[in-house]
Amino acid sequence: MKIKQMIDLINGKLVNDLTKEKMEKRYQKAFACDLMSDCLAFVNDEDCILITGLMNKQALRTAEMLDIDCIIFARGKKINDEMLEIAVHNNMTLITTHYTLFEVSGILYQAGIKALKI
Amino acid sequence: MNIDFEINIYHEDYHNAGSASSEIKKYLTQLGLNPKFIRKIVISSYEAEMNIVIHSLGGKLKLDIIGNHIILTSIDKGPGIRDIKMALTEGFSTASKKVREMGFGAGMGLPNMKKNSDKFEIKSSPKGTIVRLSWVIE
Ligand SMILES: Nc1ncnc2c1ncn2[C@@H]1O[C@H](COP(=O)(O)OP(=O)(O)O)[C@@H](O)[C@H]1O
Ligand SMILES: [Mg+2]
Repeated sequence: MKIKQMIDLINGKLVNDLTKEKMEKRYQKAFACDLMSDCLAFVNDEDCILITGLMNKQALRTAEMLDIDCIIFARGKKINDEMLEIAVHNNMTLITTHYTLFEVSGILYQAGIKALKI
Repeated sequence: MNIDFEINIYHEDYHNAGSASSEIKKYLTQLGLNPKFIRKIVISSYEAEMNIVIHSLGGKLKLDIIGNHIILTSIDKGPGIRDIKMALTEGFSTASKKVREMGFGAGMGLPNMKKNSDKFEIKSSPKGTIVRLSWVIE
């Protein structure tokens, strides 16, 4: 699934600009979690989207270590400049949405995004 | 090849937490190592860095490359781990509620480091904890 389609489905807001390459990139899997150690333990695929309610720098650092380049922040809070800086540095796409973690996961799952095999 | 560098890490410095591991990742990427291999190292490094920030009085991360070995050492100034066996159990954590709200404190850090390294050694006393992780370059 392309990012544009994802954003339409979850009524999301794109935080930073997309490169052409990112616009065309297709994602097939997602991992939803607020515990960063669990992400670090279980995410074994860099083409995986991270869905989280954790709105802080640690979520971005975790994604950075895992080579994850797309994060959806559930329950729409604000992303600060420091978070944005880490995202830009690592060519990450950040999306916010008002939907909860459960809703985002359900919508994307129904649309064909798969769970990570862990 | 014989390189090494050290990065200081401070107690409760949540502002910079993760930046040491970010530096390490940048460095390993420049060396042209396999991304999957780098991931194992930086996952461990990030968990070690967070442990220094959260649980210790401060310390440092040290990266050495000696021959075909990468060695990551986390050294801190205490207060040490009272029961290492317990600390290595998945899910065991003494982290505060505040730390858990930040996404850490699931008690998976040390087990993650052990799982992701080729060799894992830990020593601890009230004077400090040393975790030494090593990998054979793939
Ligand atoms: N550097 C350290 N200094 C003191 N205690 C530590 C250190 N690292 C780990 N610990 C202790 O070991 C426990 C388990 O660590 P870890 O597996 O990383 O889980 P977590 O950090 O999520 O609590 C910690 O809760 C803490 O009590
Ligand atoms: Mg830890």
